Amino acid sequence: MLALRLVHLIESHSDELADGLIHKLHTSERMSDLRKVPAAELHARCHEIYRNLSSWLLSKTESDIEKVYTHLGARRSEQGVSLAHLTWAILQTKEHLWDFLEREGYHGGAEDVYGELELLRQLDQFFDRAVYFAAEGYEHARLHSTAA
Amino acid sequence: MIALRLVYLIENHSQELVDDLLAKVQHSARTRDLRKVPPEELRGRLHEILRHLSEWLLTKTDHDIQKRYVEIGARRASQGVSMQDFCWAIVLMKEHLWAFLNRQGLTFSSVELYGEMELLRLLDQFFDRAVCYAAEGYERAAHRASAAVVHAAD
Repeated sequence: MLALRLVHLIESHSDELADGLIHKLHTSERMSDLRKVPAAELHARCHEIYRNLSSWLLSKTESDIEKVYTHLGARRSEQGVSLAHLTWAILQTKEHLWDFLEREGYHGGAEDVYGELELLRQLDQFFDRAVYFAAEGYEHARLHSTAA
Repeated sequence: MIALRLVYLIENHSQELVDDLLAKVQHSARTRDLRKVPPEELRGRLHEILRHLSEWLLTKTDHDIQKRYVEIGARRASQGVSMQDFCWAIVLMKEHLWAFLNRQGLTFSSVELYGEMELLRLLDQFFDRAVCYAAEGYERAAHRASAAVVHAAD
């Protein structure tokens, strides 16, 4: 059973999480290319993931993830963001969540442990697919622009 | 507490895990570019990770991971392996490890389950860094290729 309590905790702190992530994106040299993305666009993207996390983990299909993240990869390619910086940014979105859950003392009672483990694996699977499809969209866009 | 018992279990079964994983990589449509890599090279790479997993997770530094995976990314780029296929191979490896641990039918106390969560995070951080540094290797290889084209055109 997924730890819905934790998902709702994340969703209810989505503004704070998005702000903290954007600060990291703007100050890390490993993701400095993300500064080329308009601030409002970046904020909307970060907020959307955290605000709708339960939907991403429970309702959306792999095809939904593919649609959104191939588009995102292509867009970042057009904006001149390097693939390495984009990859760091997507995975930092997950790392930022884990840090938040640790800060909030997410460990519940013994009966919660399986749910928490399941949540962490679901998050992992979601972000793995996000990186995969973003790389696909990015490479297609790069090939397309080279051919043009 | 780190779930060392689980890490050692993986290391002790590394040969069998590598064999099964190679078969998955060879058959998945999402990793078809990996077929361009000589099988022995791929086997050596997978074995290097799984046989020495405790070292990768506990002893090696971020700099060690960076050095190794930037190099691997550049090599895969030069072999014509797309970045997304490389990413999916890493996904297959992670999922393969978890399926293996689930098959062992291990039972855990709640304290051990927290150890398993810690293992999940350590593994996750290791593979995330591997993918990111490999992406840097891909970018460097692409820049070198572009520079070579410009140089040839001059």
